[in-house]
Amino acid sequence: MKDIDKKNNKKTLRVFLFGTIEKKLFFFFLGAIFLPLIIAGLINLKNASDILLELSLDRMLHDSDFRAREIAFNLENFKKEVIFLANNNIILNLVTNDDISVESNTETSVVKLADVFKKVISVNEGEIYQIRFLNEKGKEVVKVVSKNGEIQQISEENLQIKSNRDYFQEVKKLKQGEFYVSNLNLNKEDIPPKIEIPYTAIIKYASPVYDRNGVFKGAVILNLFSHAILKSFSSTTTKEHYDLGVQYNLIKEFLIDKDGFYMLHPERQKMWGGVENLNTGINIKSDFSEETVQEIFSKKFGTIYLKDQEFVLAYHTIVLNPQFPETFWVSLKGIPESVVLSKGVQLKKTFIFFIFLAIIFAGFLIYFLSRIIARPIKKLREGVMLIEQGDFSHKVGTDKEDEIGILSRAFDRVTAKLLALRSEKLELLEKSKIELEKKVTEKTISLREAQDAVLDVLVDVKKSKSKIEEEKAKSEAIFSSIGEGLVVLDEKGIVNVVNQKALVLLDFRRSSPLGKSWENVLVVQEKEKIFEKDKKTLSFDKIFVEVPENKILHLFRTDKTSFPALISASPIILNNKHVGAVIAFRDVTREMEVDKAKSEFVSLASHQLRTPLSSINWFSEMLMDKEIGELNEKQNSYLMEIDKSSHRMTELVGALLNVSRIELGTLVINPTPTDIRKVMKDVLDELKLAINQKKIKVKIDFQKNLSILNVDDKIIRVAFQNLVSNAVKYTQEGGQIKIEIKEKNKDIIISVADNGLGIPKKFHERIFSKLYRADNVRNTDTAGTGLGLYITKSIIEQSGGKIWFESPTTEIKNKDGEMIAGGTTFYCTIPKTGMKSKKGSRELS
Amino acid sequence: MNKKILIVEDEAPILKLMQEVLEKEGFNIITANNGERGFELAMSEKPQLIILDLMLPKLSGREVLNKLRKTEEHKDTRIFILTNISGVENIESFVDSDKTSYFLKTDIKMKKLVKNIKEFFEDI
Repeated sequence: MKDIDKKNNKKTLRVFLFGTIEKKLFFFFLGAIFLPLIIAGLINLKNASDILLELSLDRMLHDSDFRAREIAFNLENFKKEVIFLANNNIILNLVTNDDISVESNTETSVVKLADVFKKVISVNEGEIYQIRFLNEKGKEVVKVVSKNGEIQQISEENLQIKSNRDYFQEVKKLKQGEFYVSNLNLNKEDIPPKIEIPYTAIIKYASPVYDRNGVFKGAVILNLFSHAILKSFSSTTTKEHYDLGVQYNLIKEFLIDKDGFYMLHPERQKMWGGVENLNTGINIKSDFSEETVQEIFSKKFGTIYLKDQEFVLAYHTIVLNPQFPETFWVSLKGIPESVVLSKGVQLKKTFIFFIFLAIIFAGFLIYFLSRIIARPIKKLREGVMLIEQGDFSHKVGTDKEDEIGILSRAFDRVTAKLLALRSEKLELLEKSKIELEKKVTEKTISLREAQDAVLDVLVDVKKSKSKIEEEKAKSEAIFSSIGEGLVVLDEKGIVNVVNQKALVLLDFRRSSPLGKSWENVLVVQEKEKIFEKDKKTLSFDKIFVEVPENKILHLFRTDKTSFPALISASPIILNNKHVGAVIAFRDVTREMEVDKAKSEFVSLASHQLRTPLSSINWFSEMLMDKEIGELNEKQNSYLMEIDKSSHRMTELVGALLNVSRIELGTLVINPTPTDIRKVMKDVLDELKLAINQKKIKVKIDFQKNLSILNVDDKIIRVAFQNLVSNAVKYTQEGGQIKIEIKEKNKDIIISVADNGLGIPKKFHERIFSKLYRADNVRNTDTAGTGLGLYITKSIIEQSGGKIWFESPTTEIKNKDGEMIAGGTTFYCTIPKTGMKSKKGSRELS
Repeated sequence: MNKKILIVEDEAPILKLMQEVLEKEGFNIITANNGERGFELAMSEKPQLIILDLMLPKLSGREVLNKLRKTEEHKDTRIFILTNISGVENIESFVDSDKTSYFLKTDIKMKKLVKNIKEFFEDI
């Protein structure tokens, strides 16, 4: 909604600004005229600023040159002065005397020379500080000083020897007529050195004195107040205006010596090294960067634009004496950038003002022009609007002969025709309009329905997508956290996926099994032998078809050690095609250890329990054999009891061992194809003696063509033994036992029925419990172990079968008045699929 | 023909009884009460029949059996395993052949044992 509002606002604005031809024309002209004008103006303005800057830089360079020349000129005057002083007749007379110590002559010459010195100082009043004449040994001979406006000669006793001074050393090297200019000198005297007059540095001029024979006789030294040279500077301060309109006082002037110390600086306290020390005091480096300073000293003249300081600098080097090029000064002139550009700013203001003025004038002009052009069009438009509102009688035609006139008349003709058509079509229009509305409504409804349907589908898709993702995350989590090693192969037997556990078990730490053939990853052998590559128990086909279940195989790690493993493999079948296989395996080392411990216990127990029994059995057998002597009747009957008990004990030990094997899970099941009818017959044969003793009738009903079952015959035998011997045991003499073996659906059902004591109802629930015997049988027979049914039930259930019994609840009393039931029938089933093989460590005894 | 039988048994009364009974039957009996001695005697005396217990000191009956079967002298000698250990893991692997028989001491009567021995020697 907001966007639409914005759009509308924009549109209204556009219509307002350019809505009519008149306005369009106005803006078009305005743009056409002013855009180039402004661009050209701006370019010119930029050029003007550049030129202005260049101009003022040139001007400043010129100025600094001028200043340099001015200084050079001033220096020249004093140079002439000192050369003159060193070569005038008076001094020549003084030095040419063969014996300078001739008193009369010398004295007058000295006085005369002093007079000359005084005259020179007075002529250049305030400029020369002192003039001296030093003899060839550097001793002051004449010294005239200007002090506090007074010119005086220093008395002889105050004259000093200056032979060690620079200027004297330098002047000694010069020829007649040459001169020396000192560097800046703070005129330090006394010890400790003291600056004689602050801010009044001294420049020393010196020229050698030779006698008429050309022998060096000393030098004239002229000490100059530095301001003598700078006098022209002071005369042109403030008020004057630069010809570019820049105030002069904004221009900064500097004069530096070769070491960069200021001889002139706008800030007085910076002059002469800050009047402290010309070695460490303030110099040009404190104001300008190292680069700038270097440029100034390496070039003779030039300008520098210091962008960071917004400052423009012009400089010129002044060589004081071509003989001593190392002694020079530099005249510097600087000006803030803004000052230079201020003229440009002025220019810009003027430019903008004129542009503004031009826009107003031209605006008026264009406005009227566009009105004139647009007026007929406007009129035409107004006419059309009237027609639009329904006034077809309105005529917009004008009698003008221009294009607009023609157009307006053509328009009138169209209007007339339109008027005729209108009444005709109006009716038709109304009709179709109603129909259209109806259709639109219908379409809108069906469209909305379709939209809703699509939305529903989208929601569904989204839902199922998130569900799939959830499922995926779940199975990934399961896959990685599962305790068994998992390896997934593709249809070529290449390892596709491996879980973390598999990597750990197979010791894949350095390399990845992914992409390798399964044979290189899962090296399987039946025995824990030395690693032999070509002996493989599993073949790739077998993986897709079958893998021995419950068989402990050995899997080899990458380091060729092995561990016992239970492996199961199943093919992945998609559209009836093998597309891969999943192999799961588990390290059973621990289980095997436990199994071993358990079986060791059982075998030890069976040995220990049976050994004394076998002794008893055999010795009682020997006694009963009578080979070692006849026993009397009583002895014989006692011996029989011993033998009977010993055999019961043997039986009990056997049963107990079976129970412990079942309970410890060490029972081995080793199925082979077996005819269980034969097993049952064998059992009956074994019990034949007991059956005959009790005169029991045995009826058997075995189905013909019974399936051969894959079961462990030894185990089945134990189960059958228990069932049949129970039936024999608990059936009275002359009783009857009926045994049936039949197929029923997927099972084989075995039933053993007797017509014996039966099982009272209250014991039904506990009859399969260990060491439990029903009261009624306990009373009649004490020989039972109480383990038989428990073992039988365990065997049948481990075979995947079921066991139950029926014992009629009607109580029947025998002739002695004891309660008996009507016999018992035990049923058990064994699935036709047979028993599952189980690797353990013990078979049943 | 000298019918020589080696009995390897650590339980003294049983060993004594068996020796008595079998000697009375006319067999030449030699005895050992541990596996190691049993193997030595088997090698030196070369009996035609060996009665071997499984649980024996020093060398178990199974180890003795395996060792004997590896020798040229006894690879085919008839051996009766007479023991109180039952349901031993893969017991079939060494009793299934007609060279090795297995009897549980508690279950076999002396008479039956003697009968089996006699039958064996009659068959030779």
